[in-house]
Amino acid sequence: MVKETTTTASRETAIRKRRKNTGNTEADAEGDLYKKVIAFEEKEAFKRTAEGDAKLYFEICKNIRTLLGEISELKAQKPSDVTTKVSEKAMQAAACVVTLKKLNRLDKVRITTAREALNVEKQKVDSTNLQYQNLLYEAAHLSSEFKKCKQFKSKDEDIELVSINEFLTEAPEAKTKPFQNYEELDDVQKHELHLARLEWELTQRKKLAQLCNTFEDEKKQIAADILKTKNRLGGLVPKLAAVLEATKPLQDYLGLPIEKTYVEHKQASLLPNPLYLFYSNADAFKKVYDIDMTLNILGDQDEAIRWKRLQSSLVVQSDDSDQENDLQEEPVETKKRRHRKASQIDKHEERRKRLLEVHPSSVQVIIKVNDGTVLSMQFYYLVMLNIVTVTAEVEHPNHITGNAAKEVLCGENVLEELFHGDFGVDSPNPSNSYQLKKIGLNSFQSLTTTLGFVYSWAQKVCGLDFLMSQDIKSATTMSCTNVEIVMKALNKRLKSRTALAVQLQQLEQNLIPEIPDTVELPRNAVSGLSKWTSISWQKFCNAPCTANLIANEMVSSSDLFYCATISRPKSALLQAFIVIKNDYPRQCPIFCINVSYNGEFHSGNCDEIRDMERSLIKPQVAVMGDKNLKLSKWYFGGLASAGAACVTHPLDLLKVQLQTQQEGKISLIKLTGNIIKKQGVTALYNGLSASLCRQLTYSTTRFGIYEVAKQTVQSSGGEASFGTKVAMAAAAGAAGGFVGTPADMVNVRMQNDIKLPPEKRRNYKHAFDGLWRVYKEEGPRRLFSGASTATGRAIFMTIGQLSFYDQVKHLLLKTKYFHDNSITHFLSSLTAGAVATTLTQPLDVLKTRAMNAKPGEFKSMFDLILYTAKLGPLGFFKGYVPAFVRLAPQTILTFVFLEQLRLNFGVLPKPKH
Amino acid sequence: MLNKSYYNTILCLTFSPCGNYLIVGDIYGKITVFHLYRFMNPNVNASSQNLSCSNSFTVQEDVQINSLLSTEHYLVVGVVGEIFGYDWKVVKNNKDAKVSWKVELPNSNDLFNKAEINCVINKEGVLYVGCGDNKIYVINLEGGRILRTLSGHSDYVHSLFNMGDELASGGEDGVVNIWDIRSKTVCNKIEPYKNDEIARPNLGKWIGTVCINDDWLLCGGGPKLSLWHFRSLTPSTVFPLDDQGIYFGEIVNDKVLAGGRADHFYNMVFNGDIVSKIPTSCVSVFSAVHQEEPYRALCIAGSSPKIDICSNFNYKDQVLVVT
Repeated sequence: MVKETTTTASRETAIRKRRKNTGNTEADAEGDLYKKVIAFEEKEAFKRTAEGDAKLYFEICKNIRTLLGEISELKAQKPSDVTTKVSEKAMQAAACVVTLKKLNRLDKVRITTAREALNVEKQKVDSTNLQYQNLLYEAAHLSSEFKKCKQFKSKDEDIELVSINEFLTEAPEAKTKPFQNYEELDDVQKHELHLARLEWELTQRKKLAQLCNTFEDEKKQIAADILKTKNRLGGLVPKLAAVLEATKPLQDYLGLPIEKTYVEHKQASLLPNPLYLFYSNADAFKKVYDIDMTLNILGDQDEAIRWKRLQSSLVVQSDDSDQENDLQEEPVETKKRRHRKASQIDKHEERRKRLLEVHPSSVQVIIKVNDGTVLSMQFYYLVMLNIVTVTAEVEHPNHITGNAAKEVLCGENVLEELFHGDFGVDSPNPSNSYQLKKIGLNSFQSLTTTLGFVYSWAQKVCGLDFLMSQDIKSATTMSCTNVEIVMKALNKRLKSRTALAVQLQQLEQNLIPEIPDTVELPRNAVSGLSKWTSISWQKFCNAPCTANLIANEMVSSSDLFYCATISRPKSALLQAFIVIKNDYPRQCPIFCINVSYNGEFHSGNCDEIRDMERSLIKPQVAVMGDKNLKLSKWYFGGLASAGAACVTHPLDLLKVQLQTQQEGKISLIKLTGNIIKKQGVTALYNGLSASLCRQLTYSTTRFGIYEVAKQTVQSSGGEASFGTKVAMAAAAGAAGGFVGTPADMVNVRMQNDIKLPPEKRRNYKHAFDGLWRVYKEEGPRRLFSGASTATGRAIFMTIGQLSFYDQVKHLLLKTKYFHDNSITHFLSSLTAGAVATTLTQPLDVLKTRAMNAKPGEFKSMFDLILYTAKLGPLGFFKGYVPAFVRLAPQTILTFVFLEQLRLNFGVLPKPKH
Repeated sequence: MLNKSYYNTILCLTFSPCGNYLIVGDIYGKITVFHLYRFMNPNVNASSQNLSCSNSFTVQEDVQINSLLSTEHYLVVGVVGEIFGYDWKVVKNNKDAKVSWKVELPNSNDLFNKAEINCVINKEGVLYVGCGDNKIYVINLEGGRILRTLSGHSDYVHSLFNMGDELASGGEDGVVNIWDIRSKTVCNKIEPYKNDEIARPNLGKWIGTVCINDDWLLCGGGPKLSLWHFRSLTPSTVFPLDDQGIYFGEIVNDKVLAGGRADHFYNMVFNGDIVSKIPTSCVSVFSAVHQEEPYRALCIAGSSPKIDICSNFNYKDQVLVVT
C-alpha cells in the first residue's frame, strides 16, 4: 500500500510538474504554495512523533476496515438507502485514505531527513577514522625511528681504551675521583666515566705520538751515523789490505800461518753444520794425538757462500712454501694431465736432483801410515737427505803391486765394516727410505757409486744420530767422542790393512814370510805354496769343504776370500780357503782346508783337518812370536832398576863424593884410588842396601805409574803423543821422587860416610837401620828433608828417562834400520840417559848438598842455590861426567833389563772382543 | 767365540745317577749339563729354548775333559793329570762350580808328562783310572789315595771295562789285558792286530774300546770291531762295519752298540747283522751313553758340538748343541 501511495505521490508530483510546465503564469503562486505546503508538512512532520503517527495509522486502517465492512454489509442487506449510505461510508473511507496519504508523506519526510542526518553522521565517522589511521602510522614510524636511533653506534666504542682499572690507577686523581667505586654507578655516571676515559686516552695517545716522532728522529740520526761510520770503515779496507800485503813477507819470513788459518777458518764457517762439527773435532783430535793426518776443505768457496745465504733465507720460508707447493700441485695435476706426461720426466728428474743435492763444501781427511799408504776420504753432506756420505781412496806405496793386496787396500774395502755390520749402503736416516721411494729409488745402495757410502760412523762423527733427538749439545759431545773413536779405528784399520796387504803381496809373489825361530817346524819342507789367489764368494761357496761354515753363518759375502794351494809334487794337494773378516785382525781369519790325497778330505769328513782348522783359529797362534806386542808388568821397572843399581852402585858412590867436595880438586881416578887404598874394594859397595831400597821405592813407583798410564792410553788405540808421555812421566816422577826420598837420603848419607872423619861418621848398618835412626834421632820430618828437590829432580829424571826413551825408541823403530832389539834399546836408553843427566844435574847437585848438610847449615833453598852459584854456572854441573857415566849405564842397564823382562815375562795384551 | 764353539769336540758323556741329567765334557774344559726332562718328555714341545743347557761351567780353561764318571755322590771328571770330584748339587746349579775333591796323579808336576785321564770306572768305591802314562791307577774314593798302580801296557790306556772280578783294558799298544782284580795281575791278554782277519794295518793296532760280559769280549779300534769268546779267547764274529777306527763299543743285553769314525752309529746282534744304523752329526763318535729309566735315551757325541739323541735306538730324534 505504501508503494501504491508512493507511486501515486510520484504521479502527483509528475502531474504537478506538468501543470507547472503548462501554466507558467500561475506557476509562481502555485509553486509557492507547493513549497509552502512542503515546508509546512516538513515542519509538521518534525512536530509529530513517528510513534503517534503509527498509532494513528493503525487506527485509520481499522476505520477503513470497519467502513469497508459496513459497506459490504450494506451491500449485502441492500437497504434502500444503500447508495447513499454507501457513498457516505465511501466518503468517510476516502477521507481516511487521505489521512493515510498525509501520514505517508510525513513519514517520507521524516525518513529523508533521518537519512540525511545519518549521512552527515557517517561522514563524520569516516573522517575520524581516517584521522585515527594517520595517527597509528605516525606512531609506528616514530617507534621505528626510535629503534634506529637506539641501534646507532657511536664512534667512540671502537676506540680501544685502557681498562677501567688501569685508568683509575694511572689517570690523575682529579679525573678519577667520582668514579672510584665504578661498580655502583648509574648510567649517567657511567657515561661520564666513559667520557673521562676517552679524554684520558686522547691525551695519552697524543703523548705517545709525540714520543714516536722523537724516536723516529733519533732513528734517522743513528742511520745517518751508521752510514757515516760505514763509509769511514769502507775507506779503511784497502788500507788494511795494503798493510796485510806489506806484512806478508814478514809472515813468510817468520813462518806464521796467520793467513792460512784465517782462510781455513773462513772456509770452515761455510761448511754445513754436521761437517763443521766433524771438521772442528777432527782438527782438535789432530792437534792432540800424534797421528799423521791432514784436513782440507774442498769445494767452491763462492758457491758455498751463495748456498749459505740461500739457506738462511730458505729457513724462514720453507714451511710455507712446502704447503703451497702441495696445494698448487693438485689442481695442476687435474688440469694439465695431458701436458704432464711430457713434463713428468723433467719434473721427476728435477725432484731427484733436489733431493740428492750435495752441499758444495766438503771435508777431506788424509791419513798416512808409516810405510807410505795414504788414505784420503771425502765427506759430503746431502742437504735434503740430511746424511753424510764418504768416498775413499787409497794410494798404495809403490812396492804393493799384487792384485789381492791392492784389492785389500782399495778405498771402499778399507772402510767396509769399520764397526760391526756397518756397510754404508743403507742410509742410517730412517726417513730417507721414504724420501727415496718418492723419487722411485728403493734403497741408497744404487747411489753409493756416485755419492759415496753412508757409514753410520760418518754420521756419528758429524753429530747426526737418528735415534736420539737432535739436541745440538749432545750432538757436539757425541761427535767429539766419536771422532776420537773413529779416527783411532780408522788409523788402526789402515795399519792392519797395510800389514795385511804386505802379507798378501808376499804370498802372491810366493814369498813365504819368515817364520820366527820360536815356532817348531820341520826345517826342510817337502811341499810348497804353489798358488795364492783371491776368490769370489761364489767360488768360495762352491768349494766342497765350505758348506758347514756357510750353514753355520760364520762367513758372509762381505768378507774377503782367498785360496792358497799348497802341493807336494805328484801326490798331495792342500787347498786352504781363507776367510778374512773385515775387522781383521780383531777376528782371526777362518781357514777351511781341503786335502786331496787318496780322496778328498776336509773338516766334514776328517777329524785331523778339523783339529788343524781349530788350532788355526786360536788367537794365541796368530800373535805367537810377536813379542813386541807384549806388555811389561808394573813392577818390572823397579826390578830392572834394582838390577842396574847393583852394577852402577860404585859409580854412584863416586859421584856423591865428587859433588860434596867444595874444593873440587881431586879427580875421579884419584878419588877411586883413595877409597880403595883406604878401605878396600868393598867400600865401593858401601850402602848397596840403601841403593836397592831406593830403587825399589823410587823406581818401582815411577815406572809402575808410568807403565800403567801408558798402557791405559795405548789400549784405547794408537801411540800416545810425546806431550802425553811427558805429562805422564812428570806425574809418575813426582810420585816416585816423593816416595823415594827417605831411602835416597839414607843412601846419600851412607855413601858419603867414608869421606867424613871417623868420629863424625853416622855408621848406619844398613838402609833400614839408617831409616830407623833418622826417624829416631832427627824426627820423622827429617826423613823427608830435601823432598822438594828430590821430587823436582825425579820429575826431570823420569821425563828424561822414560818419555825420552819411549819417544826415541818410537822414532828409531819408525825408520827401516832399527827393530825391536837390544841395539835399539841401547841407543834409545843412551840418549835418554844423556837427556836425563842434563835435565837433572843442577837439581842433583843441590839435592845432594841439601841432604848432606848438617841441620841448620842452610836457611833455605835459596841460600843453597846462592852458595852453589858462587862457583859459577858450571857449579851446577859439578860432577856431570861421573853423573853421566853413572846415569848412562844405569839408564841403559835399566832399560835393557826392562825390555828383556818384558819380552820374556811380559803379558800379551788381552784381545778385544 | 763363535768360531771356537764351531770347532768344539765332545770327548765324553754321562748321565747323572738320577737319570734326569746328561753331562757333557768337551775339549775346551767346559762341562755342560742338559736337563733330559725338557726334551725327552713327549708332552713338552721341543722349542729351541728347551734345547738349551741348564747349566755349564769350566773345569780348567782349554784343558780337555777326557772322561766323566757318575758315582752316587760325585761327578768324577778326568782331565789331564788330575781328577776332580764335583758334588751333584753344584753340578746341576752353580755356574762357578767349586771342586769337592781333587786327586793328582804322580808325575803330574811336570807339565810335559801330565797324563790324560782317558777312562775312569768305579767298582765299589774304588776308581780304576786308565791314563796316558800307560798305567792304570787304582784310587780309593774315600781319601783319594792311590792304592795301586797296574802297569801292563806299553802305550796309552784307552779303555777299561769291569765285570765281576775281571777288568779288561785296551790301549794304544794294541793289547787287551784282562786283569784279576783280586790278584792285581794280568791273567789273560789278546792282541787283535795279530789276527789277519781283524787287523787293519793302515789304521794301526790301537784298541779304542773294550767291553766284556760273562761269555763275550768286544773290542775294536784300529783293528776291526770283533767279538771274542771270553773263555777260549778266540774271535767269533768280526763285524762288517764301514769305519776308519772304532772309539766306542758296548754289549747291551744281546745287542752290540758301536761307533767310531764312520757316518753311522751301529746297533747289531752278536752274529754281525746290523739292526739299525743311526746317521751321526759328527765325523767320529767318541762317546755314547744309554739308559732305560727314567727316560729311554741313547746319546751319541764326538767331533762336533752336536749331541745326537735317540729314544728308540733306531733313529735320531733330536740334536743338542754345546755352545
